[in-house]
Amino acid sequence: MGRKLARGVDIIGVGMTELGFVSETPALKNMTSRELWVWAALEAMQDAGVSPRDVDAFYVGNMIGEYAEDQYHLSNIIAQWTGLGCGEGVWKPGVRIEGACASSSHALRQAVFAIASGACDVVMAGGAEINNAKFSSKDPGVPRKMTNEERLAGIYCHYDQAWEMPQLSIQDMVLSQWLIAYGKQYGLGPDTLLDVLDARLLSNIRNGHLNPKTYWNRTLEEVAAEAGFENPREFLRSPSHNPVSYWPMRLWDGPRRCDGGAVLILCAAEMSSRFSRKPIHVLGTGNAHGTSLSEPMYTQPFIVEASRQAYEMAGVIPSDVDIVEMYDFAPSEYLIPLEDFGYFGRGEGWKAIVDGRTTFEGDKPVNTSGGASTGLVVGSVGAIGTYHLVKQLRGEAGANQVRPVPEVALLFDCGAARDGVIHIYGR
Amino acid sequence: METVVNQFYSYLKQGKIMGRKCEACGTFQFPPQGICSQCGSGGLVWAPVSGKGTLLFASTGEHRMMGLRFVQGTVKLEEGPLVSGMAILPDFDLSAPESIWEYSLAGLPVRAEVVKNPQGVEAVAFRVLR
Repeated sequence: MGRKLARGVDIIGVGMTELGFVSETPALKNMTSRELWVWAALEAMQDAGVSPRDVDAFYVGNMIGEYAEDQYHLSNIIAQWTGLGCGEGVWKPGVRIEGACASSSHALRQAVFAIASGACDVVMAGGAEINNAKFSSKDPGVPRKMTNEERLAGIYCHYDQAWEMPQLSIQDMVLSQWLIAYGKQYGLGPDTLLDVLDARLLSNIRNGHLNPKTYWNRTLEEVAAEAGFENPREFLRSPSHNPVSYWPMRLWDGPRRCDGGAVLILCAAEMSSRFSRKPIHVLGTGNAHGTSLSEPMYTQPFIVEASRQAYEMAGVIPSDVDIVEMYDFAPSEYLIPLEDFGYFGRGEGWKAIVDGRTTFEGDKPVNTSGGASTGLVVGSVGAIGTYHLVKQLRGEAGANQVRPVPEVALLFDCGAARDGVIHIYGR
Repeated sequence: METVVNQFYSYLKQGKIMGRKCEACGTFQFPPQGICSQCGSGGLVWAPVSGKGTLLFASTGEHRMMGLRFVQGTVKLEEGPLVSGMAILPDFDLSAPESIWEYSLAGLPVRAEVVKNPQGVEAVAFRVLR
């Protein structure tokens, strides 16, 4: 018998920034993480019909603030900037949560527990992150675009500095092995694996084109035509335009890291009708740690365990899930988890992807937001994914709304390919 | 609690690859950790690694911070642990990355050895024997 929340928790409001680069995207230009947070928080509070006075506490997910902004203790700044005062010169409780790319999913999880415990009734949770620029006190509010080396260094701190870094054990290499292991397990040759990679990209990028909030909005058809190709598949198979990075993965299979954030307002379920006409229920949550490695490698036990916790808490089974938003830094983090949390049966995921079942018109939609192929904000992924799932569950997702409107949604977030967080939502 | 990370690298500088063994349940840790994940005991003692193992999976690409193209392997050590690190494949052609496919699940034996990484730090690598 799984663990249950001691009190029901609903999401009553969601807000999200546009995604882009604070060093150049007009809507985000010169914004620090606190401004991204306030943008999303204002939208979320308006959506929920609450004011800062109604909010009891907050959890802010942020991964690389020390690196991008020389900033520890973002929580104290967020308390003040979000208007969470509770007396003269006093602000409400809250803390920054860091769990690598899954930071905001952990923040959301702590918000759920704060409400379920009875300690709070209304909690604000989310993430805000600068990925591509450096701010410093020497020139406040003026970002300097990071070099590629700095962008890497900013996230390489998630590796075990006492083991993986000296041993040169890097995640992209292991994620390549996840794909190779899957291919060997199910008898797929490299060319079929490339079909899977192409199908994911085609689905993600088309979804991103329909998502006005994401960073990369162009179509692959347009990109391919510009480069002189008749169709996107030929473009994706071109070694000069899509060179191998970590075989069989290619340049385009990688994430488009960008800046942005999202904020959610959570509320005790027994009170949510006071604020919201369309509360979305947090049915279950799970988390487990692993090492990125496993002997079979085509399955990762930490993902299986996180999903077991979430399903048991939610009282649903994998076949009840209608839609998935997931952290897909690499295509293997799309394919492998989809089977590990049971959205597809063992050995069935690759064909489902190739057959277009994960597109937003498919029967098993994945990443209607566009996923990492159109915008990945490390440290805010789970909050952004939850924003999109709440919109889908309410039937308010616009051009890529799934029909019929989904009833049960699953969010998968993953820190450093080894810290799996799963939330299950329902309407 | 004794100092573990410092001691591990001190051993490497002496050319010794050491893990830790749980005195309570016999589980072998590599790389070393603080408490036994199998039985929860804090009673861990240093023990030499045989260095023998099997290459389960291999991949190739660039370590962009180091500016180095290399091969990485996931190795199952004879003592039990699963580890990931540099794999030394003497005859591997880095310009033909697709040929890495055949190295996975081929049951290739490896031997751990101490190398200097590109930053001059002693590290463990796995030489594929074939």
